[in-house]
Amino acid sequence: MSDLDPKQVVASFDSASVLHAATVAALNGQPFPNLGSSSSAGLAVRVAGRLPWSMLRGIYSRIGASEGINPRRLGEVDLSTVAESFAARYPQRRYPAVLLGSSNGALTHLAAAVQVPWLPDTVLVPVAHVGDTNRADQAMDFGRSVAPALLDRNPDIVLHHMHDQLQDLLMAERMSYFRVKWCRLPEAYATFVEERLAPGGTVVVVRDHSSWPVTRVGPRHVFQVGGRGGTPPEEYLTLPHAPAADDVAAESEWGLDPDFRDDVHAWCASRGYRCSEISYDGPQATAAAVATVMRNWYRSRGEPADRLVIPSFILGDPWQTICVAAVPFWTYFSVQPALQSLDAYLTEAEPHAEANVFLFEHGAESPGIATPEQFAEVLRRHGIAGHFRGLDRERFPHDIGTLGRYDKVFDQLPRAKQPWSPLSVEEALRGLAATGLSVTT
Amino acid sequence: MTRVIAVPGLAVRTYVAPPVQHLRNHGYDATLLQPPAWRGVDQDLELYGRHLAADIDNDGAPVDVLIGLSAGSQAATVAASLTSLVSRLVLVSPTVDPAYRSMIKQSYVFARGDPHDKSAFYHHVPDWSRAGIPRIFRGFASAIALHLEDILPRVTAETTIIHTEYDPLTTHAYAAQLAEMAGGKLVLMPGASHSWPQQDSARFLRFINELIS
Repeated sequence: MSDLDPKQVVASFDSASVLHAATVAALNGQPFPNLGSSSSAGLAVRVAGRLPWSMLRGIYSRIGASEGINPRRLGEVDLSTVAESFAARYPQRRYPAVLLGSSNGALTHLAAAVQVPWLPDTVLVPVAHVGDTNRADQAMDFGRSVAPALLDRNPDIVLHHMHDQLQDLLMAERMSYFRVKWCRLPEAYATFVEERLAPGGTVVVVRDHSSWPVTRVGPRHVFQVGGRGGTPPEEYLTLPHAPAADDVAAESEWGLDPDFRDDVHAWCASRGYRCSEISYDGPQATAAAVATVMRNWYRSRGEPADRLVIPSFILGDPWQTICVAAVPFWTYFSVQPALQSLDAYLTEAEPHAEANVFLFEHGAESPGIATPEQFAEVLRRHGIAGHFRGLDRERFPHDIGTLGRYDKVFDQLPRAKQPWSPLSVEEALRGLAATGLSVTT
Repeated sequence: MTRVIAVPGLAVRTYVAPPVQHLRNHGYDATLLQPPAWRGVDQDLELYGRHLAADIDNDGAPVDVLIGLSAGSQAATVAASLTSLVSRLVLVSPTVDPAYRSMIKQSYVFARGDPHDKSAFYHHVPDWSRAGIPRIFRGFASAIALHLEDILPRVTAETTIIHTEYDPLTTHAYAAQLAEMAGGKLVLMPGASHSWPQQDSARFLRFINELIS
């Protein structure tokens, strides 16, 4: 039996795959509608989004679950081909830098401004599995029973099996989240750097320190209850049937595998590549820094830069954000910690006049969720006119149609006025460091 | 006085006359050449470029900025590769993108028109009539055969590639690739279409001012 196609292996709705696709679009100078899906898919989402939630809930869950691969086929998953497919999607030219590592929406916007590619360390392999979402212990047992085939086939990965019955409630009903992290630089990524990094260019490791208590299932297999969002790990661990944690590991979605990081540094040193590292604790930590760097960049060429765009998780368009010279303040989810981060940024930043807010909705009233009203209130407090175009606030957090509408918002915004050239790598790294983010060169 | 020479697109010239005049009004020694394929002018872009290089060398005066627009970018690049008197080369909406490098694809893009510049087609008709369909056709054929990426590495002049946000003929990826290949600068022109700097004389002047400053 032949291996599964890389497109069948990786979830299309995940942070890594969508943020990567958004970066590819930006390096092609293209808008990013419908999260990279077809216009017909966007239309279907908009139409389906009008259905009552009681009907839509089941459709949403089943469509998401349809991506889950048969657990009996996990031995046919070759993640080296997934790495090849990620690398192959970038336009053929040489770049002044290549970003490798953690998923991060703010840094995706910065990559678009610098016009450099990003290759993820972590991808989500969705595995079909129907189970009781409240039985994390059973989910772990399922993972223990089917994961060996995947791990045997892919010796360079670590499996972080994640089960989040609060935030991923709808998906977890019919799917297991197998997040895999490369613990060594995949050959396809190494080849990409060798062929596409311009002479004198920089490899930039994106290192999110995020960690999470886990249950160790095997040497390269951990089980994580919950995930970063509105609920801290200790609360997840007190949920009924949550397996006791006996170790701490990189957080499944955002955290960088430490062995991967070490391997990239060693590989760069052995090949004579300049290597920098952006490190931070948690996905939200980069948002203010990137907003500041991009605002300064816009202003340096004479744009007013007083419009804020607030992308959410995978909901955003880095290329269009630059085309309208809007300052991106990315939020990792519509949750209280992200809202507090926005509030803190606005307290420190020079005033903005307007803000367009995008809120990713996972369809669940999960603890710690931040509502449109709460975002509006924070913006109002800072004297900013908040706009929620593309979002039906009454239906939050069930307005799935926003996935097919967010991109239209950019068409209504005034375009940038001044010609621009990509932000230089040095300026970007220097700018991040100036905001207090840890950047080593 | 700063000397600027502009090579317009294939069989079109009128659209870029006001911006070049605007440069003259602000102290530039700016010349807008006859476009490739007009009667009495080379229809083959490589030949056009060779003759332009010879003219520049014969004249002997340095050219501070040589600008090529659309298919004119190919002729200008040929010229810049053959003379050392050009200091800066600016390619605006350079053609022909490999994504559209066939007569069929070019015809398709042409027929589709420019949704952000719907009047472009009608504005160009008087200019096209000065070339005639056979000469335009042969000009297109020479444009498709002449690959910028083969010539650019031979150019020593400081090179800038201008890509407009709504260009239906040239992809961002191709423009960025050309800039990288030339060791030059990529400039993105927001809110503009393929025929920039048509009706954008002020921004054109600012760009040239900054380029030579």
